[in-house]
Amino acid sequence: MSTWNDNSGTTEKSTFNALPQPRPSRLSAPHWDGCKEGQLVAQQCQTCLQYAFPPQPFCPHCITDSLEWQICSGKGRIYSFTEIHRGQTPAFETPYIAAIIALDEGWHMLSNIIACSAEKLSIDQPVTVTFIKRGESMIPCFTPL
Amino acid sequence: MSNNPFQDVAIVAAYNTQQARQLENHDDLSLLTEVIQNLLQQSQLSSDDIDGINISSAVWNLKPREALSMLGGKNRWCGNEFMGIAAVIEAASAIAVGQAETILIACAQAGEYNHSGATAPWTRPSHEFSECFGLYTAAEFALCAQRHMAIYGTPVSALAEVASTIRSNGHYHPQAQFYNKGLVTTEQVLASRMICSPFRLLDCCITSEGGGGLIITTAERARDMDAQAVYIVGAGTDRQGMSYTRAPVWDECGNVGQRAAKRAFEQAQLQPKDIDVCEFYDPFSFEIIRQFEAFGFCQPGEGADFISDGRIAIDGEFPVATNGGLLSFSHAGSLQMLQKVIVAYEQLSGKMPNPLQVDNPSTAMATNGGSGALFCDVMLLANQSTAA
Repeated sequence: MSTWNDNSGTTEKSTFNALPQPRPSRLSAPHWDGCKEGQLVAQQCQTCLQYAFPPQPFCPHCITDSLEWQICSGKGRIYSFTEIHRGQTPAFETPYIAAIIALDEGWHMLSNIIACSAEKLSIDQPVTVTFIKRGESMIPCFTPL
Repeated sequence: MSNNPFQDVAIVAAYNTQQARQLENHDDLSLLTEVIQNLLQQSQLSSDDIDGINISSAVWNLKPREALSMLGGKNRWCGNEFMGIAAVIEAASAIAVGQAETILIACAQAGEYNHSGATAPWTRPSHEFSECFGLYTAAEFALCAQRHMAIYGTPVSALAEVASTIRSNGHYHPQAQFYNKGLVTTEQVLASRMICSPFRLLDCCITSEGGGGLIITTAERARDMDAQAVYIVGAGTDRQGMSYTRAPVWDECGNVGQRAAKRAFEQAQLQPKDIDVCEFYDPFSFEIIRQFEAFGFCQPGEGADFISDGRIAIDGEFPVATNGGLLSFSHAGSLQMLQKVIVAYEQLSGKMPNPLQVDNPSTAMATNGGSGALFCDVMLLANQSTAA
């Protein structure tokens, strides 16, 4: 949702106590359902074999409508990372590490690197997925291999 | 011979209210009132002369179509684009193709950010593939900067030089949030607390309240007015999708704005070396380095060297963010995007307060957006018409 439609700053304090939950759309629900099964899934085009993420209605590369959800290896490399000392909201315990993961299958996602300090991380370092329970959801995070 | 599709549409008035962290006894509607009244007074136009508008505010959720009634029920053109350079391009295009003659663009923001425990609401979008990992605007841009630093060895001292230069500009601007708060050294930037690596507090934009606007009209009408005219000589927009919805992968977004800048330079028959004032969007220090590379002022990876040795200072070859920018002038919702055009107008019409006035500039480049935001809009302005 756009921040522009709801701007009465005082009303949002109540949401600061809890970490944000994913809110799947009709398109993205299979990704989050996969997380609950302990699997990292993404759409792969059956025509050009490229991946699409975030989820799309048709292949953004070859424009055919032959995307299918595939289970991925969950392995990849750190494309970039940042150690966050100023949390998004007070619900986040600082510092934490946000990263872009380049998955071995050739797609990228935002995530967190956990169970490792920033000093021990470097760009292009291999990582693997691990799922963290948050409320009813499972959040896909990564740890160094 | 000019390729300028905007046919020298001219800015004939520009105005900013005072900018501040919080403006006591103001809301966005009172700020809009001040902006609109001052723009009309400055241009000596009546509301009847204004036959098009794009006025908005995020807090009241005022849309341009609703704002029409603020100027009375008359037949007018109405903009749709959201604020900033994109709105000025839309309005200038409308004038160039004869849909309107004189358009007032204004924006204001106050009263939105009142809980400092969290990052400002407009920097914290709720998108399902970024929000739950604790991302927010600064972190998204940090991921771009970190990748650039890893590829090219860009040092944090270069980021600090950008931040200290721009923040020190703000010290001299009476309307700036950080007016008279002291010059900022690179040592102070590097000693400020870490926000999200590599960005320290002083590498990051501030949060503000304020209002601003401008009036544009035909070059012909501008010549008949007793006003300083600044001409739009080129523009472009690059969009890669909704900001903060997906990973800002440097290989894709690192050059955002390159296509837009190329188009603008071709329209204006100018090259980067011809630009006298660089009113580049400065949400974070690193973005200045990125833009010099993406727009062709220097080669990829050379930005850190390019900005060094005072080249981006007021008396340097390519002064940037001369009013203090988003780092110390203002960052009020979306107003700061429009303010890049406003300050370009002020520089080219010789209206900047000293010592921020660049010596006799004839061209300026204004930009909005950035790598982490997946969009970049550019506008080239000149104080001479390109028309024969």
